[in-house]
Amino acid sequence: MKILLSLLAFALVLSSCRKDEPDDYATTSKVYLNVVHKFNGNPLSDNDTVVDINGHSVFMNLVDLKMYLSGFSFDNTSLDGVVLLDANNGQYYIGDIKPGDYSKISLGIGLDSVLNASDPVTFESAHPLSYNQGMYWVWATKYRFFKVEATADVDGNGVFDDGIVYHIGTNDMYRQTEFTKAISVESGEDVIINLEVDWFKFFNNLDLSSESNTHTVNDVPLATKVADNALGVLSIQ
Amino acid sequence: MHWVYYLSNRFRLFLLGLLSITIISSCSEEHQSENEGTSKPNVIPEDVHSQQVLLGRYLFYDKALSIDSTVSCASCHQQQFGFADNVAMSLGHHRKKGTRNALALSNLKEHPYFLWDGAASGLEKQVLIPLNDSLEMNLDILDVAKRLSGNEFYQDLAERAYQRPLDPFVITRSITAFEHTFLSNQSRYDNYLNGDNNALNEEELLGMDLFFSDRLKCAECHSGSSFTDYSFQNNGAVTNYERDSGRIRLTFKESDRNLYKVPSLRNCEVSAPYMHDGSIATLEAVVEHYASGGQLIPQKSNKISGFELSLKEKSALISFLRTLTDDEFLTKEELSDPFEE
Repeated sequence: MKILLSLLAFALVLSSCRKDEPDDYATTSKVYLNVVHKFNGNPLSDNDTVVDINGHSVFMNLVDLKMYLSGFSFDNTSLDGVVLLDANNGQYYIGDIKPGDYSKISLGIGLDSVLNASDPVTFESAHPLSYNQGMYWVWATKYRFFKVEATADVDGNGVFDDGIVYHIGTNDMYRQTEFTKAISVESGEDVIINLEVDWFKFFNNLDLSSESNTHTVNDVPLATKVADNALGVLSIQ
Repeated sequence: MHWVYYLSNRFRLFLLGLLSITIISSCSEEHQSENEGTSKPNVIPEDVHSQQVLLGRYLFYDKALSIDSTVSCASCHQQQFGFADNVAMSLGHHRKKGTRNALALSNLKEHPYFLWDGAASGLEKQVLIPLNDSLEMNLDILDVAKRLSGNEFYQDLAERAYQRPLDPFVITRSITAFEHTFLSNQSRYDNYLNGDNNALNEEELLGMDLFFSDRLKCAECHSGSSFTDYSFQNNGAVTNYERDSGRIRLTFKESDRNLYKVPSLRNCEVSAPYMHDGSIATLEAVVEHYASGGQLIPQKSNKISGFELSLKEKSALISFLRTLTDDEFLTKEELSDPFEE
């Protein structure tokens, strides 16, 4: 009798353990961003690129491009991934999602105030928020949301002697955007979101002869303009 | 023809070898001097927290944390001055002059943020700032970790205390652990609060009454156990803000222009000069400044409106401020330079 009771109790414990697990735990799908970089619709290359500014061709050599994406959600379901894009095409894991039909993808350019308050030395060196990524602004104890650095020949003298630096950060510069996109997530199958980043659009309505440098704090209006331009840089294919 | 031409090939090779050995040997000496910190204590404590504090203490006093190995945290935060400096602007690497007065450090667990503009929300993050500052230590924390990677004492202590090598996490955590031991609570004023009615004399008691009075309103900002409400104010002490416009550089809000954190007054007797730019040299001058109501600055706090004090009252107020000095804190061996032991 005692053995029977023990077995019954054991079965009850097992059954209650099972109940604690989420029913759909094993069926969530992994979501990846497949990122392709462009410049004015063309593949981003190491060669000089040409920007049209007020009817003048400006030759530009993109030196350093980095951008944080975070705050991902499918409809109202959040994904907790943080991505630090560089100029290389690639795939980034951004979280898990339950099966179902979704119609909208939202994301943030930069980091929300909670992520922006992270301590960078607490992350492994390969983590996007790690100090090793070179995106942490020590003086402000906050992150740069994106960096766009280039050298340009603004005056057309054939010499790339004009430095272009946009380092944008601080909580006010965080931008959120959303895309209408029908996505059907099948149980356990990876979801690939194709994201195109056209860096040309960062320079929309910028006069590089006078609007070529901001570390945010030294030119907040220009930083705001560039942060707003960042909204036009991304598109979901 | 050059004299080297006349030397035999063998002798030339000999000279070349000698030269190489000399160069290698001088490089090695330089590396060793950067990695000082090998003045080991006789006993490594058993408990993990004490190990963390010990590691932080050595790092706090180690000049290898600056690019030219001339400046440590303690160069600007000296124990005898309440972990402040006795000059208006401390000198950083290559004797570069800073832009703000070094704040006194004590009871840091109570502080919600650090630096004159409140830039650092935690002490761990604050550690990065002077390291990275081009006028202070000018050495990225990744380079600090690299530079100290060959120091067996540090590596051993890091493994014991944090179960990982000496990396940015360990550096920031251990220095913070050490700074959290900067407890100043044994001043005569503390003793008075703890029930020792004889701790303060009559003049000091009069000064205390004045300090907390509605007439002077000192305690409207200098309140709480650290004598600060951590608010950001302009006290009208300075008229030139060209080099430093205060908290606005972080918030971009015009309302934060030329505002600075109200500093703690603990150990203020020994932490002169005062104000964010060290422009006021003595406590007497500080009291005179507040009595005058300060200079006409648009951002000046409306709490600074001036007051009249008799000579006796002025002397009493200053005497009271001196009762905030914690002599034990200023001389405590556990907080002192371990390289001098």
